[in-house]
Amino acid sequence: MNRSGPDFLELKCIAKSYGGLPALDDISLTVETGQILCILGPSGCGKSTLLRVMAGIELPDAGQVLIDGLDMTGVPVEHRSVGMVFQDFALFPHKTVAGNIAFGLEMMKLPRGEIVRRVADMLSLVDMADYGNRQIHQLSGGQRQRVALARSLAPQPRLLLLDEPMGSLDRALRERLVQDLDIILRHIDMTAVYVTHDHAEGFGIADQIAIMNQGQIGQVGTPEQVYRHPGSAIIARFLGFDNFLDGTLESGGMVKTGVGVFNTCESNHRVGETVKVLIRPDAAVLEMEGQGAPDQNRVSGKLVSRMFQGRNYRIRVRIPNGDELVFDLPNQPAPPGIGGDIHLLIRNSAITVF
Amino acid sequence: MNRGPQNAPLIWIAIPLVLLAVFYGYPMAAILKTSFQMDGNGGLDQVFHILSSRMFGYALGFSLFQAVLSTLLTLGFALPGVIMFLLCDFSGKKWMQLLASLPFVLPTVVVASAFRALWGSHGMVNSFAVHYLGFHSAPFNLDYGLPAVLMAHVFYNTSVVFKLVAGFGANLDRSLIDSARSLGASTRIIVFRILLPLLKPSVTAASLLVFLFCFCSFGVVLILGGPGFSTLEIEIYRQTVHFFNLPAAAILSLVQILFTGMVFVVYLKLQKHHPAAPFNTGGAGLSLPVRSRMNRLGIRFFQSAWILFLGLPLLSLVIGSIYTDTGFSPVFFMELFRNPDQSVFYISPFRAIVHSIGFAGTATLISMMIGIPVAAYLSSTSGRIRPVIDILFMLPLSTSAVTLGFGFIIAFDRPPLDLRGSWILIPMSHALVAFPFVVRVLVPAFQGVSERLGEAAALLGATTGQIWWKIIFPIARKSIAGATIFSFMISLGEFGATAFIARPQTSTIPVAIFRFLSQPGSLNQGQAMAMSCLLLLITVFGFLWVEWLIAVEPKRACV
Repeated sequence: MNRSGPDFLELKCIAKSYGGLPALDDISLTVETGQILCILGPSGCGKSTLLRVMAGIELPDAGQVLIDGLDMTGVPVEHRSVGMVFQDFALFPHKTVAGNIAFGLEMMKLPRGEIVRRVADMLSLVDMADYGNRQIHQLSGGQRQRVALARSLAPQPRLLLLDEPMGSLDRALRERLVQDLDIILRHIDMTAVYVTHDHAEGFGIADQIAIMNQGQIGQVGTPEQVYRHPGSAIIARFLGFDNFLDGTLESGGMVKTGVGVFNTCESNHRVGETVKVLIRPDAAVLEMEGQGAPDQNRVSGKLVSRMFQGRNYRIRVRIPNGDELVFDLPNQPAPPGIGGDIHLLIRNSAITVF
Repeated sequence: MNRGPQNAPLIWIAIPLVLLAVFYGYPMAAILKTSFQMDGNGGLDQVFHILSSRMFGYALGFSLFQAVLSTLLTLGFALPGVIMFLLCDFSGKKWMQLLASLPFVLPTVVVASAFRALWGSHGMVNSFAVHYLGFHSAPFNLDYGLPAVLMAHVFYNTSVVFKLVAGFGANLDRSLIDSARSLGASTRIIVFRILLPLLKPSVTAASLLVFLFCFCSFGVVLILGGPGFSTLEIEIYRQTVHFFNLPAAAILSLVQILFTGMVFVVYLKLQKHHPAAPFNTGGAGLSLPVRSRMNRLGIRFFQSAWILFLGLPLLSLVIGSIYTDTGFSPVFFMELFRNPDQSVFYISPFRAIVHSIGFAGTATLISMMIGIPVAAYLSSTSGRIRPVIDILFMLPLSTSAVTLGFGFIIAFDRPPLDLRGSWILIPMSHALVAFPFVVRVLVPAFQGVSERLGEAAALLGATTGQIWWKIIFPIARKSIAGATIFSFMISLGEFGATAFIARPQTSTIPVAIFRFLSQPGSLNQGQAMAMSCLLLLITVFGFLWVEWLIAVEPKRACV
């Protein structure tokens, strides 16, 4: 998993604004050779603009784009040898599948035989060997996505940029294609930047995740780091975590809140400081009867709703101060009925303090 | 689209059907009857005699020649501009777009006057050459002839190419261009291997329309063509007005109808077989920032050429209307409102203006009376009868105005419908020219109102009539207003049919302009310019009004 190399792509203090509104605000990022970086953020956060700056489709107002150590900031897209997969795939409707894949090779003025050979290679790479003569409108969404990938990989770019490449596909197809994409990219050892707003997709494919919000990078880390330790309350909310409690930090990493004391291993805040505690929804288990109530990491309340989701129950619990917390419980044992009292134990690795 | 389980009843379009039969079907039948008239040396012999005459061969040949040449020149001038407009981001785009869209709505006589004002022997270019460049006489003699006609055709058909191709291209997915660039394509490659192939359907459609308009062009050719110039349209006019050879004119009209009908069918077929266009949903446009200095210079050059070619004729028309032998003065305009009453054939400009406005009002009323029911019917019918009705009400669009005018004078000069002295023929002919446009505008507007809104209203207890009056018409009101203004403008500028039908006592602004232009003397020319200027002003006002109506149209909440 650890295939770290030298930094291949480096962004230095990139800034861009549209009509006075900042779209990218002083962004610095690096991607190591052979790594897949995922830029994750809500729509309108500037992630696509950042990708277009990397591609050279847009020019930044300030800052530098270094590719393999060379300053490429002013180099237009057609001279960057950067591949790009677009959200709607942008396949040329007047060309066949093979014609689409051959386009970039024709631009390189390769000999005909070489082009035919490389197109065939690409088609088998994406498992569409028999589809060369098809028209684009005859393909399904998933097939189009693979043709778009083959087209962008055919000229052997040094860097592949993917702009929400699953954006127009349905969820079931998406999960499978993310896996396929991951296998293909790692097979050819491609350095890639993948932009999406879907965290499941991003966690699935990325070596590194950069969380972006309002034109700024909020946090960079491995998927595990970002998931376990969101850098801020805003990032946590974007990742779908909504269980926040107000509290005061006491000695030994203990946080005192309205519903009890939590052991958080926290060391970044001073004792006595007011903090926000995040409890991840996957962190709770039902307290067994007769187990003896512990004096910390315990949430009690009334069950407001329970929704069976197959693998787990999603429950809402109203805690004494009137707030509601959401938890995903294992499907065994079943939680009590709606309106009943419920007691939950919280793993302390699932608690983050801001 | 189908509102509810049944189709709309035919009774909705009973009145339009009757009007179409009487004022379109009957004149066309009269043309057919006159062509094969049995009296004299008539019959098929007469048809063959005319079809084998030199006059016919020359007229048809020259019609085709000038139409093909005009089409090629128009494409040559307009396409580079459209491509630049689509691909590049530069300042002044909005103005360029307005300027490029304007000529299409200008009346042909105004276009002809504008080119006379610019290139005529007393026009702006020649005056400039004489006054400032030291020429002793006018260096360009472009009052009449092929160059003048071609320039005028390119001038107003540039709008057609611009509207169709730029409109089509604006909806293309921008990422197609971006992905071609990311694969290493230069701008030249993008234009020739991506953009042009993608634009092809719209370019073909535009070419056919331009060809059709040039083939049917009457006012421009009559005024700027000169005596030696003969097209089918001109020959129909000559045979009728100068030689009173009605059978010959009828046969020419028949040929014209068949020919334009054919081109029109091809055009409609092409529209049907539109390939699945790669449209994006956002419509953000393709425009890319212009980076190199060379490109910026190129754009400025093209922009200037565009503005000069499209703007200068109109500017010189305005100048020509106030520039007299003794300097700038409003004398031509004042002259319009004096009535010297010299002869019975004299057309009072003031009375022509009054007539024109009256006719235009009546024509608009009639064309909305036909257009709204037909559009309502077409937008709520999906059965087998729909294409029949659709084509039936599009027929007038494929018939040239001259043919229509000719049909009117041979059909309505005897019982059962002796309307020779009646003024109603003029607005009626204008309405026939205008209502197909009304239908074209209103059908998509009515269809744009969601079927579900109608269904929701019906569930709440609304009758069909209430659904139309309280839901669909109010939502589509801007389109209805736009269509109304458009009809009015078409009628004000109509020349081809009016030239046949109008009598001196019922003449319109375009007819008066034509009379002034064909008489010598700077006062006549000046009055033509002044009247053209008034017409230009009204048309530009209407055009901007329609543009504004479309611009403020709120995004439809109902899809």
